[in-house]
Amino acid sequence: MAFENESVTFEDFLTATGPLGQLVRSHNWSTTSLGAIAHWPASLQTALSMALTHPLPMTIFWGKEGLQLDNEAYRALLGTRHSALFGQSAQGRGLVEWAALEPILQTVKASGKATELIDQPLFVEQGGEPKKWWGTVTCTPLWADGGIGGILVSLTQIRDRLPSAITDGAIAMADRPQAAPLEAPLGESETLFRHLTDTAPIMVWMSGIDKLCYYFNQSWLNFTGRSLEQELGHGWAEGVHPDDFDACLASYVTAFDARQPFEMDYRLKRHDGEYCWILDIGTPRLTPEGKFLGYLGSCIDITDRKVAEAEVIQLNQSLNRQVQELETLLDVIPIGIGIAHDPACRNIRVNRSFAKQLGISSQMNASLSAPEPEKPRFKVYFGGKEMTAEELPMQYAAAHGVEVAELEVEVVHEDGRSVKLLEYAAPLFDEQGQTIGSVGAFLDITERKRSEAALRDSEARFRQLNETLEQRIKARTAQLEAANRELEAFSYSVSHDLRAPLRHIDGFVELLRKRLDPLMLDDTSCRYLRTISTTTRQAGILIDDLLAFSRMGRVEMRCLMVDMNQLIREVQSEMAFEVKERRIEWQIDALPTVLGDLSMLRQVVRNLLSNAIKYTRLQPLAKIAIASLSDEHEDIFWVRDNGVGFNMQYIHKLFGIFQRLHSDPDFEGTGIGLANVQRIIHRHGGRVWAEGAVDGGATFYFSLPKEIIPVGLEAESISPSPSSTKGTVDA
Amino acid sequence: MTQLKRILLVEDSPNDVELILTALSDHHLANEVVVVRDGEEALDYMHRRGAFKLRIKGAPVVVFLDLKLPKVDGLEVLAQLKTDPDLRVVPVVVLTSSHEEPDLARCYELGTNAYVVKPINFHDFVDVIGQLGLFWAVLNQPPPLLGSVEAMQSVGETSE
Repeated sequence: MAFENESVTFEDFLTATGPLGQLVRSHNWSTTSLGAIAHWPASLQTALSMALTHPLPMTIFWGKEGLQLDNEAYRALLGTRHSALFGQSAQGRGLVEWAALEPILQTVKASGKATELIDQPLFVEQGGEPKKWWGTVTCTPLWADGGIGGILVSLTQIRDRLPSAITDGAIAMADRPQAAPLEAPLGESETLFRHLTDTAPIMVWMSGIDKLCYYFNQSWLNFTGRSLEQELGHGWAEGVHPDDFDACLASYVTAFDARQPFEMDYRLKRHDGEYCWILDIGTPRLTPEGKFLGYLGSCIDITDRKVAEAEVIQLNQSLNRQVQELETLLDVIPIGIGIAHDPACRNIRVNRSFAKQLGISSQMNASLSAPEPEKPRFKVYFGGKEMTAEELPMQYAAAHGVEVAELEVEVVHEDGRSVKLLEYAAPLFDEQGQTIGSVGAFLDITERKRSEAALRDSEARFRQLNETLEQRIKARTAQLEAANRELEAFSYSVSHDLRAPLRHIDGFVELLRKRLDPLMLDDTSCRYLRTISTTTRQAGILIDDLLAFSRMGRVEMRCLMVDMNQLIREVQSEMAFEVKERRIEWQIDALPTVLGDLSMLRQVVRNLLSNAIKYTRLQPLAKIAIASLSDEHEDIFWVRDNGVGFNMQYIHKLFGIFQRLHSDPDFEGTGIGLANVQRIIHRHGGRVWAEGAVDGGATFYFSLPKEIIPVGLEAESISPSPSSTKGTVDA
Repeated sequence: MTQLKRILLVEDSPNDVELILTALSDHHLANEVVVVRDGEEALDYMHRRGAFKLRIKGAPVVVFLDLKLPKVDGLEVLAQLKTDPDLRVVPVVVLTSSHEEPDLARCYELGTNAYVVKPINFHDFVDVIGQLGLFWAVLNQPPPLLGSVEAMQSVGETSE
């Protein structure tokens, strides 16, 4: 059973404890040094609660004023005087003459020892009549806050006359064990002793010369919750904690045999089953003549102290551990740490990192404020200027009581090497708020600074490069645009101005022919005139083709879905007139629909079909096949014929402008058609290639990607390639 | 309505003028052909001003307009004619050496009535010019206001 019960207060107790308890409860204490009841010291509460329920007359003098608090028995003896004395400073004639009592109280206060006055006169009131009685006055100090808070005065042995002899010595005593030798009764002092020990807060026991205990005071019995009979002899040892039992018994027996005082602590079971630590002090009891009587023991509960001691030990251990952890941390942390324990920072202790940053040993004093032989050799610069010791962050923090943050400095070691540090410092204060030093943290940012600089550097270079590149692109674009404009102007002029003279030549040759007498004109003259006309016409076609080729490179592409089957049918019908005299076997597979510029693709189909028709002219039966193959990325088309073919040796010339592989006048052409095919397919992001053999036919392939990224107006030249100077216009 | 309708030919090349006139006569088209050598003359003629202040009143039945012209080019002439409230009804046939697609598009945007490329081969050329002459000067019904001398005169007058 535990005794904590916070729902019942001391005041509740007072209310429930007779008229005096209620008197205490209702008295106005707030004007006295005691203050409100709820705040009374525990020892006063304990003593008062004991006194109020005790049958013996008792009173308590409390505090500096000596406020008097009587119990019921005491009040009965005081009679009418009680109301004047209760709760007041003790004075005058109470039950005991104040003049006699006061020095005793002073002695008790000074010595801290309980004192008794035997056979003191007591001024009693009985039935309204004052009477002089006699009794023993016991003064016991009451402890509060480490000192004596008050004194409990109790009266015993009250009688109306002075005793002639004291004989009754065994009132509350248990029967002594039979084995114990009978002692001479101690009479009055024994009785007094019992009274004292029974009312004392400490636990007391006594043993005889047979080592067996024959007495335990009330406190002890209250503590263990057992009866005297249970504790007698060795009974008490049943309450000792099993772990402490042997040591406890051994100490006792050893001391006993040597008749030496002893002091031991052990755990004793409390009435509620809890083990509490007990300090047990035993002293041998001797008669004035020196005869050994046994032992007297007094015990106090030191559980709180034990617990506190254990806590202190634990706290110490945990503190030590934390200190060790902290030291380890300081050692491994890659941040420089400095600590100074003097306001001028003359001595700065460093961790390993800081020592390394400063280029000194970690046992050295790192303070530049240190006296000369001790002063380290590194120098600190801020913004290129050497800092004085007073300007350094830890010194500054300690001197001004402020924090320093993010100060970037350069530390130059004795050997010339340097590191860049980012510094933080904060002052340390004592309990009175005085600076007693400072701590500093230092980050090595050398590497960071270097990479920042490198980054800045490369960024600048990159930017510069970008700008240059942009300028070059701009310049190049401008050049291209200018070239393109020139080209357009050129084509425009060619278109208008080059065709006109050809038309005029042809026109006037015809007019001339008409005016000449056909009979006068010999065959040669006729042929000359015819040749002029033919050549003129050829030149016209060349100009048209060239313009178309140039235009293909320049016009904007408009991409749509183009049905290749339909496109081929349209081109075939355009050419129907051309091939009406020919026997041609067409084999056209089902073709896919592609994404592309319709008019450009029409030009491609037109060129390839007209080539196929042209170069199969000599075949009695021309065979032209058109087919395709598709995968996920592109469609490949080809046009195969059984015509004269070409020599694969010259394949590289096939798609060049003005390149012709046939000088045969039967296959007249300008050498622009295939170049145009290539240019258009390239603009669609596709490829062109061909296979052929002399007199073995030819196959022309082109591919179209399924996603077109139009190729811009690339600077593809319309000028003839270097190898093409010979035999260009050869028909 | 016995009077033959007048044709305005705007052409700077004397060779082309000769070939065109020859082609028209080959087709027995005896319409009066007024020839001007640049865009400025063409506009002066149409507005009866400058050298043409005293010309017979009335607008031509068709204008054959070359594009590459000195001073004011063909496109500008076309633009001015087709934005003039009185003259925009006069049919204009662009007759040019150019195959250039931008020209073609631009001419139609400006409101040309036809666009014909002069063929290089003379036989084709004669054929084309003959057909144009036949169509515009003979077959085609001009806008009502151009159908009588009075109307032509009124057009000429209002354009001053």
